[in-house]
Amino acid sequence: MNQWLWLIPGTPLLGSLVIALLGGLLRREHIAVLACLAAAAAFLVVLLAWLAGAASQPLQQTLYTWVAVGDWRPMFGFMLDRLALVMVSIVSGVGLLVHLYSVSFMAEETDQRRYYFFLNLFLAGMLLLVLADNLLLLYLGWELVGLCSYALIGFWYRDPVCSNAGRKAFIVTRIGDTALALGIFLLFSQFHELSLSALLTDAAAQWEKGSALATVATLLILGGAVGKSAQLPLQVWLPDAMAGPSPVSALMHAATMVTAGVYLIARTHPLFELAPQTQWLVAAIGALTIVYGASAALAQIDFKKVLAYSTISQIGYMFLALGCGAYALALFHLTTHAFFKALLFLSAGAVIQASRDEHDINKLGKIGHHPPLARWTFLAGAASLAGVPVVTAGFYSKDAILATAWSAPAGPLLWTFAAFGALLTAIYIFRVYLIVFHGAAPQTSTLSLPYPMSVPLLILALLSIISGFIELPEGWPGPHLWSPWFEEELGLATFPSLTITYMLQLIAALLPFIGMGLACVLIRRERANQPLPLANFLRCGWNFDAFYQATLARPYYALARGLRGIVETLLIEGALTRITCGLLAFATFCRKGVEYNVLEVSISRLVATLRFAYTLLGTTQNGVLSRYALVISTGAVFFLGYWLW
Amino acid sequence: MYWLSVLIFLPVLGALWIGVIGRNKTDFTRWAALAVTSTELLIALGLWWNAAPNAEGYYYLMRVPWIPAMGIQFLLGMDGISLLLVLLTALLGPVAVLVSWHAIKQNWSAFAALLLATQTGIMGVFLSLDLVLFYVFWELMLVPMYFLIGLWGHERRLYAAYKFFLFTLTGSLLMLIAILGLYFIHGEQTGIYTFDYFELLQINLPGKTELWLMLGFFVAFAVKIPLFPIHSWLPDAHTEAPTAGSIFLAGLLLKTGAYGLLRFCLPLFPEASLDFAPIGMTLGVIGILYGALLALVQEDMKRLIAYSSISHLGFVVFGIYAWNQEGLNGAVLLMLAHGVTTGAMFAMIGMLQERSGTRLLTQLGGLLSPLPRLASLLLLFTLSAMSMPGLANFIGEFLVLAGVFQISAGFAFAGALGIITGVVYLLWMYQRAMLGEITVQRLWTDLNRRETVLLGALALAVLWLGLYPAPFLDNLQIPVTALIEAKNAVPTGSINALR
Amino acid sequence: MIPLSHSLAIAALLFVLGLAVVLLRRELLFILIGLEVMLNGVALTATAAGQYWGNADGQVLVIMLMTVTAAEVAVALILVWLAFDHYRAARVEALTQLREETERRTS
Repeated sequence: MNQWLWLIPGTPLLGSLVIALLGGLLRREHIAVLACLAAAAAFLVVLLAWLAGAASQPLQQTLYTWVAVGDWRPMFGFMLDRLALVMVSIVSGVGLLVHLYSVSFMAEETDQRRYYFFLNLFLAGMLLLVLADNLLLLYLGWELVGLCSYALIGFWYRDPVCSNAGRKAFIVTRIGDTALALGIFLLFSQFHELSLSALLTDAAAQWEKGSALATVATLLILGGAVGKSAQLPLQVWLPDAMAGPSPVSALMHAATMVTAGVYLIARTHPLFELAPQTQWLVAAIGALTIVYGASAALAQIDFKKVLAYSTISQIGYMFLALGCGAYALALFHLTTHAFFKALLFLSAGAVIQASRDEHDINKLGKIGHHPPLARWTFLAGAASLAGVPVVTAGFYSKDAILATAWSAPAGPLLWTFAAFGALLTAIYIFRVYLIVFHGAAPQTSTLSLPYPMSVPLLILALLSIISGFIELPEGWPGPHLWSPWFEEELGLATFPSLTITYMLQLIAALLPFIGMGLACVLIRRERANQPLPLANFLRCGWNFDAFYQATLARPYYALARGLRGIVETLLIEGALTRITCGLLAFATFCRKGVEYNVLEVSISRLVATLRFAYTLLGTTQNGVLSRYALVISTGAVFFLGYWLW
Repeated sequence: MYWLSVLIFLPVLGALWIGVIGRNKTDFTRWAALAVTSTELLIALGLWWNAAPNAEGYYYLMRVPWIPAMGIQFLLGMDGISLLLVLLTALLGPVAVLVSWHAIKQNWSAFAALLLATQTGIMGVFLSLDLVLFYVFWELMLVPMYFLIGLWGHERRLYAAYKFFLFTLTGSLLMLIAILGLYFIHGEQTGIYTFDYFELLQINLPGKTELWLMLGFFVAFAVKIPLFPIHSWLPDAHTEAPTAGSIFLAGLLLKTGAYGLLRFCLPLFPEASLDFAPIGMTLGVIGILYGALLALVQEDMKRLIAYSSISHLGFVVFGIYAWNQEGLNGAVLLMLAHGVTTGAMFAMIGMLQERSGTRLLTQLGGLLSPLPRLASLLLLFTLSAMSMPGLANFIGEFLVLAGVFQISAGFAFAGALGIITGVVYLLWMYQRAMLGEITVQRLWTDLNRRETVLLGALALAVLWLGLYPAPFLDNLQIPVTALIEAKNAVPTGSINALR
Repeated sequence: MIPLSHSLAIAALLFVLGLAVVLLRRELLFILIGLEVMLNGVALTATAAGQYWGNADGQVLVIMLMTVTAAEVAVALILVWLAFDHYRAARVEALTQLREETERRTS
């Protein structure tokens, strides 16, 4: 199996290449089928990897030497351990489902070639990111998914809103990426090595716990993760990214790409363990982001933006888990979140498309003519997101994180944030559900979805219900498969004592129901035109955009304009012009003063003298041969005489 | 190896051939110019194929006495650095010819002859190892370039050509003085009056003198690179030059400056250069950020790319003065990548201008739908310019920053800001030109076969440089090690002329 | 054995005669003849000196001189013939092409 590892990112890459180069020869539908086949092939290879025992023995493959500088030779190599295996399965699985869904969803679009090219390329980039065995290759995948995100957010490029959103996403994540790049440089300058396994063992061996270098390095890596995973303070790009097509939002901005930051931290967790301050910062960022995202989602009007802020908030849970050292639990939540959030996005997409691209939830509620399947799957997803106890996957993964947060440093504080976030989560998602699906209009609808859309929805709905059962909460009888399986790679999470755990679980189980009730109250108030206090502030995502616009973007442009104005025109151009003018003035002075008065006169005198002498001499030049001969001989005689005597 | 002189004289002979018999035979001239430049490329590739380094890392050397009385030789040599730059020069030759195919309307034979003559000059600069010979070629490449800008350029061509000539000439005169100084000091020390590079490497200069001579060279190279305060010729020259001229300017002429730093400044004056390194790096970082900032507010696409060149060449200088394995390797690789990427960008802007009649971003927009092929290729090269991993510029910039980081984290941080600012202006440019609603309704024609082949080849080069740069980097092993040895040989307690 | 002084005297006589012809005659052909006579005077000097010093250089020079003279006469005769052909002039006063035309310039 080792030598076939390249097929996992290779097949979607091949698919995208074929679409890019030969897409012109294919019909529209065939391009979609081709892209699906490529995604399916990748998924198949992942399944084969499971069968080949990748779960027990990490697989490795090195393709070739990428860069060769001195004795440093990073390879183009892959590594498939358990962490990567889970990620690869999610990415290729959800990716395949989203590809399928797109076949129907995007059927009317004219520019399918571009869409599927970037969708396949995204899959390749994400798989590359996960499989990379060194940081350089990981960075390649990291940037590649960013590019695809940019291109697909701006898929409807004629609308400046879309292209601006794409650009914003790229630039904001680039800021994080640059931090990550600096982190990579730091690690490289310390260890002269970027291979992940070697790097992590070296770091554990050479750095003391809490050393400054480890803190700085992890802070920089965290910067990259924060940018990609849309955490505070770099979360501003994700809500705007909803301008892209819904399947793209489901795949990139919910299930896979935005969780790359979580993966990165889980992958480099030995470094984070060397820097407890950074690790606590990860947890704090997570906790803050949970509340931030959930509160902002509370006041949204745009259907997809609710889900976007929800994603920000849910990834906050993963960061919280990472910060508490519960890497396996973060990954657990990542998995269930991938299922239910993709499901929510895809159902929302189906609803929005059926209502002629209407995004406003109040209008959607009034239209009310939604596909029933989308409604039920949305409900399943919403329940899982809110963490309705026992029956949904979201409950199990979120509950475990809440419990483990208690035992972290300043645990009760973190827990309070997280629990408050969970309450808000239940409120906003049921608010949206109730407004959209139980709006004013009558609820009878017989719209049916085509199979390529309904099958992925059903599969994801099933997964968002049952996928939690592999790991029941701490202290419960039943299967505990997830954490022990990861123990070797990621270690175990710590939980508070059993009584506290049970208490926490009880509170967490009650929260969704309280949230549902509050959602009803909230809707009633909204219908009575009594919106939330601070609704506008929350809707704009706490005005982060305006803040960045005023503090970063505008000064930057102003600086550029100012430089163009001042330095370029005044200093450099001006200096040049001034020098030229000065030279001209000097030249004029020379011409008038020196040239006319001094030089001209003396030269004319000289010329007159010369002319006179020349006339004198000219007379000897009379052309008479014998005279010449006479002069020559006279001269010769004269010189001879002078020489002899 | 006489092949080196073939490399130099083939274009100029071609120029003579075309200039003499090509009058009013436009079609014939095009094909002849293409044939000459392609042969040149084949020879360069052949030299790469057969390259086998000697002890000092030189693949080929050619030594013929020229004016023995003054110690001037016709000394050509090719090591890894020059090999890569020669390859770039040879690659951009056919590109420039193909780009000008229909863009140049009048007097094709003279244009082709001047283009080929420029190529000769650049080849000579990259290959000559005798200082006088180097200086001759250094000046030689200016003259045809001046006429290319002045005769076939755009609106303000005369001003631009004049400015270009003045700036570069002033710089190179300082270099001439430094060369003569080097010659006489070496002659007095050893009794051997020679301009031989290898002999001069052995020179041992007193601190102050070394600094002044180094500055003489540095100013000439800094004008060409160009570094911050003396860059103002570049946007004008790039903008006003015809497309092929811009390709040569950005792709090759700028590289001669950086090449000069690597070939002459560092090895001839290691102590002074080491003292100068912080200033050099500061100038580099100013260039990076300043170019990126100014590129953001340009309306003219060519001008924008010109400022982006300042930014990228700032990275090169950055890497050169970091003076370690990663920095130097990255700088040379980035030169190659920038040559290919920027060459392609200028070519595409030229094609865009042929179609739309303007280079102003305010008048363009929404061209992705009528010109999908052009737009996707432009995206590829734009991404490469913003150092997307897997494309050409990335490895270079990555290595440069990794190298700089080992010297100083602060500098690396400032340089890394350049990565962000690069995204800002390039994406803004792409969005304004290609995305949005189409502004001008006319009959648009997408890339034809000639243009597709040309850009496809460049795209392949970009991907090759990004995905498998190892074959290029292998060439740099010996020269870079030699440069680092020159640095390490500097006694630590030496007189510090600057501090 | 002829004493050196005699030969030198004859040579000088020849040279002066030739010079006189060159200076006084106006016909081109006579001037040429005068030149030949002068050259012969020089040749005589050379042989006499060579004989006096017991050295062959003088004779070598004479042979050389004869060759050169032959060539020179051939060229000169053609020139004279061409001058006659072109300007219809056999006398030297008619050939004043080298004259500096100062009068016309200054006026």
